[in-house]
Amino acid sequence: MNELLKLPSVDWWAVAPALAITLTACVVMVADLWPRLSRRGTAAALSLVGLIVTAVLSVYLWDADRSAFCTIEATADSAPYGCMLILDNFALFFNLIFVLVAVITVLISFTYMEREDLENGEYYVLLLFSVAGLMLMASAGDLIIVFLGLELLSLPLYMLAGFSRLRLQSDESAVKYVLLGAFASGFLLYGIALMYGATETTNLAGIATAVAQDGFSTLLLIGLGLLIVGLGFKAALVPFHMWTPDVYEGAPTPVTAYMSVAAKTATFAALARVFVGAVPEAPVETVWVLGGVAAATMIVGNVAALVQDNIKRLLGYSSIAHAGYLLVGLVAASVATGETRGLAIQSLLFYSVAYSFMNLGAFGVVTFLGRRGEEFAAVSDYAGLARRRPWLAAMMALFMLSLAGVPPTVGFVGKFYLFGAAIDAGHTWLAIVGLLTSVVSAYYYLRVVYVMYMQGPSAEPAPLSHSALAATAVVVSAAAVLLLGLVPSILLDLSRASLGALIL
Amino acid sequence: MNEWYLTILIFLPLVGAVILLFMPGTAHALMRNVALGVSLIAFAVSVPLWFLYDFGAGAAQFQLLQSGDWVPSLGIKYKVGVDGISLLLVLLTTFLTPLTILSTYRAIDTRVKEFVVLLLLLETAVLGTFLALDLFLFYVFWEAVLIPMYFLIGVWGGERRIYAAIKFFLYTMAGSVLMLVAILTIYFLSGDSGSRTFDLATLIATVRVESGLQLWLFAAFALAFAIKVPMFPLHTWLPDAHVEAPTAGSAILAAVLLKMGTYGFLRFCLPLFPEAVETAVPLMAFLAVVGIVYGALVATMQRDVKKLVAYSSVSHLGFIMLGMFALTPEALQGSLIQMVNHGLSTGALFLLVGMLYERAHTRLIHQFGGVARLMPVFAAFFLIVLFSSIGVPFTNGFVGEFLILVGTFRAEELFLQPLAIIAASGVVLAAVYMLWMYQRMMQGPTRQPAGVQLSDITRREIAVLVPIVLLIFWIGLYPKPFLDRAGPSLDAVTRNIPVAQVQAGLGGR
Repeated sequence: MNELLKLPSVDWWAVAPALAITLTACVVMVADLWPRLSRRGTAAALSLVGLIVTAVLSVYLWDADRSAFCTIEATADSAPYGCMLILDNFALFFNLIFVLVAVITVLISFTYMEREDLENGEYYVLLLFSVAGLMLMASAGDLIIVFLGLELLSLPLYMLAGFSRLRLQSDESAVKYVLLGAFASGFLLYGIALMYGATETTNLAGIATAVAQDGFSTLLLIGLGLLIVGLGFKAALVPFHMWTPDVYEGAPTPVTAYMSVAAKTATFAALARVFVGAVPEAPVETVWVLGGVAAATMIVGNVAALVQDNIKRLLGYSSIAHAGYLLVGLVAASVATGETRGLAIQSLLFYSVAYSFMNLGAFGVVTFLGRRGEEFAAVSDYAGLARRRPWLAAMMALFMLSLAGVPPTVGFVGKFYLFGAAIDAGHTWLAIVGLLTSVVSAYYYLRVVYVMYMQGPSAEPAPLSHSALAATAVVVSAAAVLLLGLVPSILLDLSRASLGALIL
Repeated sequence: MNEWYLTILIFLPLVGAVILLFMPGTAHALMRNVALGVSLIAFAVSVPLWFLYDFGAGAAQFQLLQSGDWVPSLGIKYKVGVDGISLLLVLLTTFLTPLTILSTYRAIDTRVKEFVVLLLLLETAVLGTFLALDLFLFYVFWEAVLIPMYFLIGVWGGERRIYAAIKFFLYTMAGSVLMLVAILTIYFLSGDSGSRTFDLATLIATVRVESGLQLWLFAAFALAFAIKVPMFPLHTWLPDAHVEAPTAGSAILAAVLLKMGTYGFLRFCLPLFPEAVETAVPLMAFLAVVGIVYGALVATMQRDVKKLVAYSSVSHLGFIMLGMFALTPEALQGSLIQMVNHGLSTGALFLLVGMLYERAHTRLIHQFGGVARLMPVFAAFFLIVLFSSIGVPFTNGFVGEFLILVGTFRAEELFLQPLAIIAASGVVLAAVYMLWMYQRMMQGPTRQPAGVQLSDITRREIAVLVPIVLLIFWIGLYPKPFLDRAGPSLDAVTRNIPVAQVQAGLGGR
């Protein structure tokens, strides 16, 4: 009796950041019901406080290497392998990215939500729950946690995508996202089931041991393939990207910003866990498949973005392309060993941060333009922005140049680092494809720039919001894009220290 | 102090640009004067380099070095230094920038603040490109040049400015990204013989690339540089960019930005890939000569005088490339001196065409006639600069082209002699298109575009032209100080190339 009821001993510190976020979400939910507290801004302010507490916790836990829910008996040198949750520096690094992304999203949401008349407490609650999901994905030591994290991340996002209930496009976006997301989850779960069937475990370290003993079975390969499909949907990799532009266009702009950055980086964190943790010596076929997917993603994303007239669709396709760049880093990490693998994972970490800042910044600028009902979202509505708001236009130009990978911005250093890792890992062809498609991308990013700078304002120029909060978010992003481009060492050293359990 | 010298020079215009950014943009005259002041200070700072640079025997190749860690974990350094090659190009840049700013006093009257800020940013990026001795740093400056130039063409350019700006940007970027792959490849190779580094001197000294790979790497670098030069058949962005850019943009583009390409060949391709360079000599020399003749023929046919100057650029840069790849000491010296010459003469030609355009609002040759009677001072300057461009003796152009042709003719490879003869026809053709153009526009019966009363150039415009003309004659009459400074550095960059050593009479095979 006593035996049965015995709870496993849990290292609560290992779940502390995710727990803090979840608790904040609950507090915001309750506070929102309180009539006197549900005034404007309370939910947003509480969310910010919770996020900052989480950030502090994550910094406090740096280098602590906590882990929880260990299924395989841990020995001194195998820890934190065999645990379901691994809160190593890798996870903490991503936690900090997610907090940062969420903070910037909250900042750019406030004015936008007011303008669209959507200011509701639930918005922030959903956002916080999805952040908890992101954190689970980054600290997953078990395929089940990957799945749990993905679901916890996706369910709130489905709702957020349809948050502008009265706008048909937003509803369409939500429905599309739910349906395709459900398919993706199915693929993922089936993949996990097959991998379990092949190796009798869902634990990443357990799978690695099984592979080392018995080699790769066909079943495991199929399972791995389905897992790539499932996660590929979330990260918007070609050919699983079809939903992206529609969902991104329909969702409220801050949600789009959040989705395009958070879901993507978290998926890559999970992919890195799986490919480096569970199948450290991936078979050649998988590597070529991943490489092929990366090349296709970069090509399709960048080429399709060329013809977009809606800024959100344009950034949507651009985010597909950026998933391709990130995948190049993952390919490098999965083929390489030793120092080169470390370099590849670092480049993945670096680019995740770089991409977060530049993409969020760009979407932040997008929230400034327009009025209720998301009018004025065409690229041509940016005409003459340089004369109307010189600083805003300058920052948008900076984000565009960074996304295109032109020095001296963080986007350049990030690409330099990613493609450098690919070359070091012997996949020079991926670097060449990536860089040549970057040239293609420069065309559509520059289109935004020339519309802002080289065309006069139209007869009915887009209304511009004034928002100190959103402005703060954009300025911070712009400063980071420039500063990390000029002094990348700060972030490089941090990412070097964040390999965690991936490299032991 | 010496250590910081070059860094101060590079970033001085940037500081000026930042200061301008925070000044009220409505005071146009103030903006122009401050920008002119900043660029003059930069020039004043750069002049002592001419005397500080030690070109005596036994002097270090790179001087006034500054080196510090930039991104230590990746072995990226901030390293700048000057040698005889970069010295001349740096002085050319700092010399021409104030003159181009002065030339825009009337031409640019919208968004003046942005215009001068971009010109100063461009100056910083160009100086950085010429002085960087770390491949990563070089690449950053190299790419950074694109941004201000893109805006200069796109905002203040002519009718098809956006097309031209984007074409310029994409062409150059397409070339450079492959160079980035090559840079990274060398970087990882350097790890085999020590710690990974982007430091040029270390790479030249330690990295031995096997000849197959060397060809690929050379090709990647050469593509980036050949687009920038531009060499035939990669030149198609140039006429568009030149014609659409505002006068100051065209002048800087022709005078300085194109030299980044030729400089890149000298600084990186020759010392890093000596075997590949030898293999590539026939191809490069052939393309150079095709460029000379093709550029000259197309220039002859132009109706727009600015386009004529643009195509003459293609032709002249062919000479520079031919001289470089002939790999004899004379040809190399001629090639370098011709870089400076082309900067002066073509830069001045664009400025002159701009002055005419400001008055007449057209550049079509057939709309002008007998302008020399209406604008005698202008016509005199125009003729001098034309002579320099054609290469008439006593002007700088003669020195450069003569050295290139003599040097090429003297080269060991026999096929270079017929190429030199064909190239010499380019000189004749230059005389044809330039003098024919002069004859049609400046002489004969007076013809002006309808509704325009041409007036001679002002004192400000004379002030722009006089320094250039003085230099044209200085180099034409007494080029020795220039050649003395360039010589040792040119030896140094060709030290690894056997055929260059043989041709210099320094060593056998």
